Amino acid sequence: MTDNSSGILTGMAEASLQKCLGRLSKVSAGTWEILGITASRGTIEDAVKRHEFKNPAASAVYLNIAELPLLAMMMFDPDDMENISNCFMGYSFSRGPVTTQAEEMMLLELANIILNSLINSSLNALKKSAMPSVPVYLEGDSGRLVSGLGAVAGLNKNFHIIAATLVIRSKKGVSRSEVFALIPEELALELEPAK
Amino acid sequence: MKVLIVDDNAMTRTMIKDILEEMHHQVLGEAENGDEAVKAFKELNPELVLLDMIMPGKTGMEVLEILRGINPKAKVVMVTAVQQDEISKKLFEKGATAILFKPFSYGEFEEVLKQIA
Repeated sequence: MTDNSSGILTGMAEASLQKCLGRLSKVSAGTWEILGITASRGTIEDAVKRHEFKNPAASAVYLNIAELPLLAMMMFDPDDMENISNCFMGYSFSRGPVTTQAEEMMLLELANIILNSLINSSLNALKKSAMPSVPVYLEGDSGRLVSGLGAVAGLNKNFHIIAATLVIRSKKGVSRSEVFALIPEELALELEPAK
Repeated sequence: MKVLIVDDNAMTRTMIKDILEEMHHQVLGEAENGDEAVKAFKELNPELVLLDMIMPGKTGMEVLEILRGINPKAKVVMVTAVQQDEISKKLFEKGATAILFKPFSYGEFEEVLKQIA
């Protein structure tokens, strides 16, 4: 993997995310923007550790395409649930001690939209199509999330990691979330000429 | 129109139902997976189905094929975040009336329903 191809993958991810967040800003009550986007190499544990655990536990939603294979995930801080619901739903879920089913459904739907935008751009560039899995919700500390995601994509496998930090703004607050695409080397190499 | 909503996410079903009712459409029923969708389609005979693509069990594309076999005249609008060129092409080949890509506004939803009415 060359620096040039890292740049191509990052550029592709950034363009698709910007388009999706622009749509979300237009149709929802919040403003959705990319704060920063980086490319690196590492394991699932390296990706999960990029999330700033302000609380012992975080929420994660992932989609995978086993036949490629490709994993995309989004991480959230539980304290941000109120702001995210204000932005995405237009009303606030009152925050309780545990994540409610409604909050879980909201994160699943939000991540479904954002993660699919990442996957769509990669597959369209490759002139391929593949149905992503049903979005899956995970919650827990770093170790629990790593073990859950590792069971799907391989705990020790090395990936090309595209990580984007999103800023989600409502009139009442600001929160952040991380979006990741974990791309195996073989697929990253295919994406370079496809661009 | 008399509508059946198919989506595995209860929140999304409620959101779609609220919009449809505001537009004075009649929601006949809801289903959260492909098997429930086929059963409800046979029982309720809706004029329009709003069909999710990614669900546990059968995909929306598989359900679309089954529904087309039962009643080719019913309108089926796929509601999905999957915006891949090849998949969109296949959906139209298999008889989708329209595709509504997520996220969508109230106005975009209304426009799609007007076009297919």
